[in-house]
Amino acid sequence: MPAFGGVLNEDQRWHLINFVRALGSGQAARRLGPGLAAPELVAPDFTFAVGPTPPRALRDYRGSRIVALVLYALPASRARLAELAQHYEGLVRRGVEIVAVPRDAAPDAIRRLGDEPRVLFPVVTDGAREIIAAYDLFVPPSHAELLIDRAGYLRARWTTPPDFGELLAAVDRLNAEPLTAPPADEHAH
Amino acid sequence: MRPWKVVLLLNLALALGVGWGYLWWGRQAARLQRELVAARSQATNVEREWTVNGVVRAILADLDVVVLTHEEIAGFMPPMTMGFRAASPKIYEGVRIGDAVRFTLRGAPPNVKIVALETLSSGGLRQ
Repeated sequence: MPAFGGVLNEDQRWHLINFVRALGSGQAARRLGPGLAAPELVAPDFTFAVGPTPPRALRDYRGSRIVALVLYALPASRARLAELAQHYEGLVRRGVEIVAVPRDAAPDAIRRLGDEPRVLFPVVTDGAREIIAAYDLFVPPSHAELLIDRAGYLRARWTTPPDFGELLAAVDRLNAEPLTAPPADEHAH
Repeated sequence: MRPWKVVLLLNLALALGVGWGYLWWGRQAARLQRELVAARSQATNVEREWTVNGVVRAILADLDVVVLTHEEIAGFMPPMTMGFRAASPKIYEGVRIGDAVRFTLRGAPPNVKIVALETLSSGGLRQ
């Protein structure tokens, strides 16, 4: 322990360790780009709800779905959300779930998206603030998309909406990978 | 009677008992299986009613369909986003995308319709 070791109690030491780890993960994530990275960086887990439905967690998708986490802000992201809505069925067939998180954490986020186009993928109405707080370590505070593989690792990051073909190509490459990486686990000893 | 004959007879009796029991339980299992299938098919043909919470995602007025992200519908479907036909257009009159609602489904699965819909909060904001 460094010189300040004696100044901190056990809880404070763990807070410091977690803070340093989070900073490290943030730095590593900033090196992520549109190309698929190796399965090394664990996507921070979170829980969210859509309207009155029971809360779900990111880890619930492990082993079954790729998650495209979309942090959006209106009106800048509207065109991209419309594009994702239009292709949602195709993405679901490819084993992808979109989780859209409003940056303003508005509880009326679904209404704000409006009637057209019909956005039917999960839009977080509860839990957005915590998700944004955790993922802002990884992305600048604007529209961002992150691709999380079926083992729970962050594999790609876009800070501007990617060409849809590029997203599909990344998804297809993830689908072609065998599930060899051990399931992501985030804890320190 | 010699001991080996006693042992042989006991083993024979035991084998017959086990065999008979196996056949009897096998017949029982087959009967229960048939009853289960019959009960399930009856259950799907019986009209039922559920009242659950959801949030409105889309209204397809031309089809009288309301798309909702809903909680579990016990014995019918898990929480998901799904379109349901409304029994009448009046049911979704005044309802807007994002409204949290409590709705009643009635019918014999999978032919169910929304027969009532009450807005709990507008646009996700509690009233």
